[in-house]
Amino acid sequence: MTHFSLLAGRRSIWIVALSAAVLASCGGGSSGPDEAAVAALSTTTPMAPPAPVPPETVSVLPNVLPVVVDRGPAGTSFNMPFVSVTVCIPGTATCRTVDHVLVDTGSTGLRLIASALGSGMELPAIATPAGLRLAQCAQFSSGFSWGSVRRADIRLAGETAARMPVQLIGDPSAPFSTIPAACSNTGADLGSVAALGANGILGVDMSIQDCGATCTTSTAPRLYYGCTSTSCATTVLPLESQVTNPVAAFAVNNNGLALTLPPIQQGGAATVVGTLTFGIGTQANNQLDRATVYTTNTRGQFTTVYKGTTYPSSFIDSGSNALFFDDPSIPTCSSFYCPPVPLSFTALNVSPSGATVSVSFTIDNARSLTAGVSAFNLGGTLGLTRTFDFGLPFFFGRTVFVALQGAQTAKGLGPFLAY
Amino acid sequence: MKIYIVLLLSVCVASAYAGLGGAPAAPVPHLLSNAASPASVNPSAYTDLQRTLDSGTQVHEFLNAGGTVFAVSWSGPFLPDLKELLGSHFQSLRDHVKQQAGGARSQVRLQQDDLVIFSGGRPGAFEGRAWLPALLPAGFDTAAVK
Repeated sequence: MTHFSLLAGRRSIWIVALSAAVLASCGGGSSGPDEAAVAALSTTTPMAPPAPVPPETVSVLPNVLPVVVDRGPAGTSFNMPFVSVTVCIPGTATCRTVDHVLVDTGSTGLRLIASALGSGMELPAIATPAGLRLAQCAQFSSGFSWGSVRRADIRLAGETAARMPVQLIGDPSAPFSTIPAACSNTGADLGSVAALGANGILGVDMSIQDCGATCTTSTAPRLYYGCTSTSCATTVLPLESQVTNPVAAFAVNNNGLALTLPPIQQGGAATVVGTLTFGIGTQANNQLDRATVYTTNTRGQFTTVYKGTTYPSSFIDSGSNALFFDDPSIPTCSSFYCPPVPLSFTALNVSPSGATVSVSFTIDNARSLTAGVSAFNLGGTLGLTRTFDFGLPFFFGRTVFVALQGAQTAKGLGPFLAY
Repeated sequence: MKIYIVLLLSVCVASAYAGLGGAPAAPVPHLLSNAASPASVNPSAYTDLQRTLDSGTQVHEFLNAGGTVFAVSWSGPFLPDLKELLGSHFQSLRDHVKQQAGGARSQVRLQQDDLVIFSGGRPGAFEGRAWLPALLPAGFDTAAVK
């Protein structure tokens, strides 16, 4: 992975180096449909990393961040949308840019793998109410990320979020280098580039803080910890110190965002380029236009009805790398769907406000997902009773708006989704 | 009184393996009043021990007539102590996720002949379920594990 400094002045220069605009195919002829290709989805078998390509310089608008879907920093990722994020020591021009940070509409706030940020960026620590140094155990469905929480100015395209609490995953400095049992007992350790398939996570769901009011009065979530020089224990934490969605802290274009990706052909694509646009209805380039508003609960959930079954905790998540749902009529291989030919389906999404939309999606044969492909209409089983997980393939050929909690837009208060 | 002692023994033995495949993590007193003698027990009988953690997350532990946890589930805003809930099978969960490195953060789908673990949802709204196929009571429908 490469890191390069982006030293912007008061007026940001909206030019970024976008690497991997074209992903050279890995190896010679495609291995074709076989079980090995499918097995590669769920193993750590090393794959040839993408061949280096000359950086391509493109101009972007101040509220538009380029997005790329490629094999990621470890060469093992697929259906993961990445952006480059610049963090600065607060109030200074000492900055560093981290590439391949996952855009995640299913979590809140910025988290960077410490080794990807690199050494020499001394981001200031945050004090807990007891005066200890702040750390966090962020929770995900498959495990946790552990590390310190520090303040940084976050620059995304031409927008800046000042003095934001950011999680530094795998912070090597003591006492953060020891993971408390209360954290490690929640699952697998996702605190590495290899485990995450990314150099960090940019959580841009509708929440403002990743915990919210609960953590201001209770340690039961076991999300936040105060650390002495030797150990860390759970703590309560005020909202202003919790890991926060940076979009909410922008000076302008701060009421939401939109992720746009192009449609994908049968067999997938080596690389896909899209955009993350900040603000909803605040600029000529972020109007809702024909998009319809669908409200959600405070956690971004709505009800999906699929083939007669109701899933009341469904969500749209760019951080999920497939459409995860259960349909015993579709052939599977290694818990992914492998229909001999691509199949089209429809589901009914019902928002709490009553707005209903029939959405269509395509499931391609997972056996076609070879090492040279990074964007694919992939579906997989889920095994849950309440959830239909509309992962990244839902975004192919769509613009999905996410309006933040309590934010004002021309079409009402957030939170809502629009597409 | 004899029945009572037999059941206590059963629970004590299971305690050596707490969590899935062993004794429940939840307090067990109502298990004793609920269960019948092993001699007369219905093989399809089971007990659903439900509790709400301080974090607001709901946890179910499904016990067979012998007091052994054959299935667990969780749902709610924060993850429970899965090491406690899954017991000796917690490491299988960790190993499985490690093998799926690179974008498998959003869900767990571990399906083996002897162990099934599904975990999904999103931060603030998690859902998970796990069971041991070999320990399921006769006729038990895993759709009840939710």
